[in-house]
Amino acid sequence: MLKALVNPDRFMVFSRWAAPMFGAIAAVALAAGLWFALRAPEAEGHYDTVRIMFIHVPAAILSMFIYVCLGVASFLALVFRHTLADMAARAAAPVGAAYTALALITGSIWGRPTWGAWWAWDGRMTSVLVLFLLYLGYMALRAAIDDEAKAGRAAAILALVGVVNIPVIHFSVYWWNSLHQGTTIGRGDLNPAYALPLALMGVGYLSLFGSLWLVRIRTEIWRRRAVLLSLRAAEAQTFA
Amino acid sequence: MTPVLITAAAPAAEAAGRYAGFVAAAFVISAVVLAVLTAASLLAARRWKQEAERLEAAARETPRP
Repeated sequence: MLKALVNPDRFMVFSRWAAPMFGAIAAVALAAGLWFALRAPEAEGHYDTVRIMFIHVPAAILSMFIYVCLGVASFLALVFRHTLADMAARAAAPVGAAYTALALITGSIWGRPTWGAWWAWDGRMTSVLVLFLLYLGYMALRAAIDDEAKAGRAAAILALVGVVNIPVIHFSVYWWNSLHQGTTIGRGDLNPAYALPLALMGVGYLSLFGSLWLVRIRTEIWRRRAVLLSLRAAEAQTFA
Repeated sequence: MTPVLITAAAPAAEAAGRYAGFVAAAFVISAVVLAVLTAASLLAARRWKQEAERLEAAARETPRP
């Protein structure tokens, strides 16, 4: 299937129905997740701040997942020169940056009442801040170089180097003494009252990313088509 | 300070809604950021689609040298 989608025309046909479908799933999952999240019981020692978890955790997980997508797309663009992979990498970065910013902001809002501090130079927080700076660096590098092919290659190298930060974020709570709690999801000790809203919000954030990514790749295809056509028009006028 | 694992619901919420301001701020900021991101993506898609279609139409009308 992926091989078929490498063709931009086939991708346009696929994304035309897939993007609204993911958008609809996101809307339903986020609405239901919000409903359950705001009715979840307060947690021992955390009171109602536990509800921030339902928006903080999906944003934090997706921020890493999107960077992995960016890394894979960059690898395909760099090694196999797939134009669509380059477009996918470019399209993923702003969404990833927004999700990472949300993880940092909601984490900070959680930290103030829970730990008594908006920010701490803790391993987990600092490595997520580095992830945010990597996203910004990727976008800035692409914007700074006029030649799109060169910009794509330089940014892809930066993205691949940055992938090393993903395991650092994941294991930071085990490698260093951290205020941030370790893994709760998947260990089976998350209260069931919190599992449903968290799962729904997770599906909502993931589907929203899927929808926005497809929309942004479509935009990139149209943008490059428009740039190509305007160049051809300018060339035709010059030689007329 | 040691991290507290969120594994159990409070047996009795003696201070229900104690940090409602923090919770509301986190939800409002998230909603605004996601709404702006979605709107910006859709508007950019519409703009470039229209631009590409306009240039394609112009290219069809212009005779090739």
